[in-house]
Amino acid sequence: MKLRERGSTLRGGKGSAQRTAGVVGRKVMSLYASGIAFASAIAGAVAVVLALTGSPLPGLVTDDSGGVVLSVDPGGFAWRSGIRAGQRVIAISAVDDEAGWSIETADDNEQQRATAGAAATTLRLSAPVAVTALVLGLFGLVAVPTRRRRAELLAGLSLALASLPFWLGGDAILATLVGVLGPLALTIWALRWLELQPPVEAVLGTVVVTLSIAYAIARTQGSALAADLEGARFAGTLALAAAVLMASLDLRWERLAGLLARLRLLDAAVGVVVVAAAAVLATILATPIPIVAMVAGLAVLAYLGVRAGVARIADRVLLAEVRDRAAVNGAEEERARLSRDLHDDPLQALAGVIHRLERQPDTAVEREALRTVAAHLRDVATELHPPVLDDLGLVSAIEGLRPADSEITIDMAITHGGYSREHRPPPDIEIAVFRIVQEAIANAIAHSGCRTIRIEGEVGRDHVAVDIVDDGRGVTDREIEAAMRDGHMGVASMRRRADAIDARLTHRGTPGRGTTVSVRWPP
Amino acid sequence: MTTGLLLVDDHPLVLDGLRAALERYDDITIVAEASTLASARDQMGNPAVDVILLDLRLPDGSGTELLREAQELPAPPAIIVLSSFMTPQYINAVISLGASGFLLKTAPTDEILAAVAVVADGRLAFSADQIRMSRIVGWAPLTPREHDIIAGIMAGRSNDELSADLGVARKTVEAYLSRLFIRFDVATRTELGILAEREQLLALPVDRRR
Repeated sequence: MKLRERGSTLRGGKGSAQRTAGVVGRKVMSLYASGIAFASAIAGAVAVVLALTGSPLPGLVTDDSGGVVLSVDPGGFAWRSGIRAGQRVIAISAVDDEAGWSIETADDNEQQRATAGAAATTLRLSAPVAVTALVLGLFGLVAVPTRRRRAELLAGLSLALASLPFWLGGDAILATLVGVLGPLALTIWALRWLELQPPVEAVLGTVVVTLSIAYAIARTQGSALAADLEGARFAGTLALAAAVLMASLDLRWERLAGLLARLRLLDAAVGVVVVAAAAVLATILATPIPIVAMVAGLAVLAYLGVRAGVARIADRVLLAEVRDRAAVNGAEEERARLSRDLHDDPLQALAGVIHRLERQPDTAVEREALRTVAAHLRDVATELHPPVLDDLGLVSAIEGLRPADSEITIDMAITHGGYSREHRPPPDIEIAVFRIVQEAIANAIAHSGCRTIRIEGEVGRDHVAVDIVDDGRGVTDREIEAAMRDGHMGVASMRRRADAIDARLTHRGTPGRGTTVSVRWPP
Repeated sequence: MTTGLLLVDDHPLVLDGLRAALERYDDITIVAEASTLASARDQMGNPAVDVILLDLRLPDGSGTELLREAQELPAPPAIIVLSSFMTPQYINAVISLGASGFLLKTAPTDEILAAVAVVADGRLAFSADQIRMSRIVGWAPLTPREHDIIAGIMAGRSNDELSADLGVARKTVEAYLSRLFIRFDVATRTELGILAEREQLLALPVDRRR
């Protein structure tokens, strides 16, 4: 799936009729944003009240004598307990504090029992979801005047969450309304703010609208089909919310794949906690599976959004030593070690021997031969790992990236704190940023057709900010994705290196106006 | 009068080799040797030390720190950096940090001797090749002192006035000027002033290095 931001420009708008339509459209959409934000805040508030008071409707009608079940609403808790129309009522127990009232029914084969207390407990368990929905709805309301894109997204997510307590509450009309509004709002957001392919837009719109109408009819008519459609609605809403959230957080598949490829101890720990919590919810607290899935999915998505920050804090607190060894890219570390070994032993020994030979007469030829060997060793060491990176740091090493015989002008202006270790970022940060800048320059020279590359920024002990700006044709994300499919891994490898040090890498190409690659550590 | 040398290198073979190559010359006395930054620090203030031959990679820190600290001494010894690697960035860094010369560790003894003689005399011992290479990175930030000296020259201050303004020895001002001449490829104060005006040198970023 390809998801890109469209911004707020309207499509078309060439003729005056279209322009008028555009103005009207803008007004309608502005009203829509306010409306959906209000709706979501109200739905969130009602959901909180519902979840906290916890008195779900059974959705059950018996005949006047209370002997036979006449109808069962597929949204009420009686349906969830397996009670169906036509069953005989065996007993309706009185209210007691522990379990609330309960009803027992039987058909030809088996008995069913529905307990108001158990349903109320489940409804109360959805309180965190309701509170989240309310908070998102309120944030959405606040965002309406300035950030319409965000407001509509928050409203959609809020409604999607609020539908859960409504469904558990069992009121057919309200649950249907909120249940349909959530996926519709998310779909409208995706159509409006993401640059989807037209066929995808058409299919998405048609499927969501059709399913919503079918669900609404089935649910309000009390049709048995509603129970099946409820599952589809849940899964669909969850998938839609996840996709839309990923698109808005700019979590692309390549990045997710990159994350998966570099799972860390912390990720495993979070995974175990989520699975354990889900297991407790599902078994001990008997929470319905859709709720568990929704809560777990939200937890995972939220974690992905804040993963870099959590990882850094956890590392500082718990894993500083482990990380020092583990986080450095293994291959890079090995190359640096080889380069240092070459320098520390053979190269030094050669220098010493050459000076000793100076005392022996007639050794000029031998000394010259040894100097040639030393020069070769220097080249190998430099090829493995730029020694300037160890001796003088990132800024000097970037200076050395200026290609000697290129037509392209490279301007550099990076301020830095000094050449000694205590004024420089840690070695793993230096080498990673160095390789990113190296790749960015190589990409600009190879693909952008630029004449000038400007490298600017600031490097200090605890921060790095470097921008690589070219004046070429502007390489867009779309081209990069196409190039990656063809096996060119330049940008992917920059991202991998940035991920390995929890830095942020951004790549912005504007057709005709150049490309900017930015690295920020910390992000 | 002989020139007092301090040899700083953490590799015993290099120290042995340098000592073997240099000690047979009458006009050179090897005053002391150091294999760590800490012991080099202790010895660099020794009045008998005129010239330091300095390795950049030391086990307890970087030779660049010693270069920087030496500039703060009342009568700084001249420092020649002996490095395993020589690229434009190294040359640029050691010039801006106040070194008086830069050689590969494998350089012939003759070259080392010649450089020692030149820097002991208060001059700089960078080769024409090194000066040409260092200009490739002419965009590098100015040190605060370089900035002050260029500003003084643009204001028409003499070397004596600059030395009084900045509270440093006249000889230090002259050494800074020599390095600025090298860096910006000019021969006189006037040329440097004109270049500074034309190229807006004072607008170059100033290093916050302490």
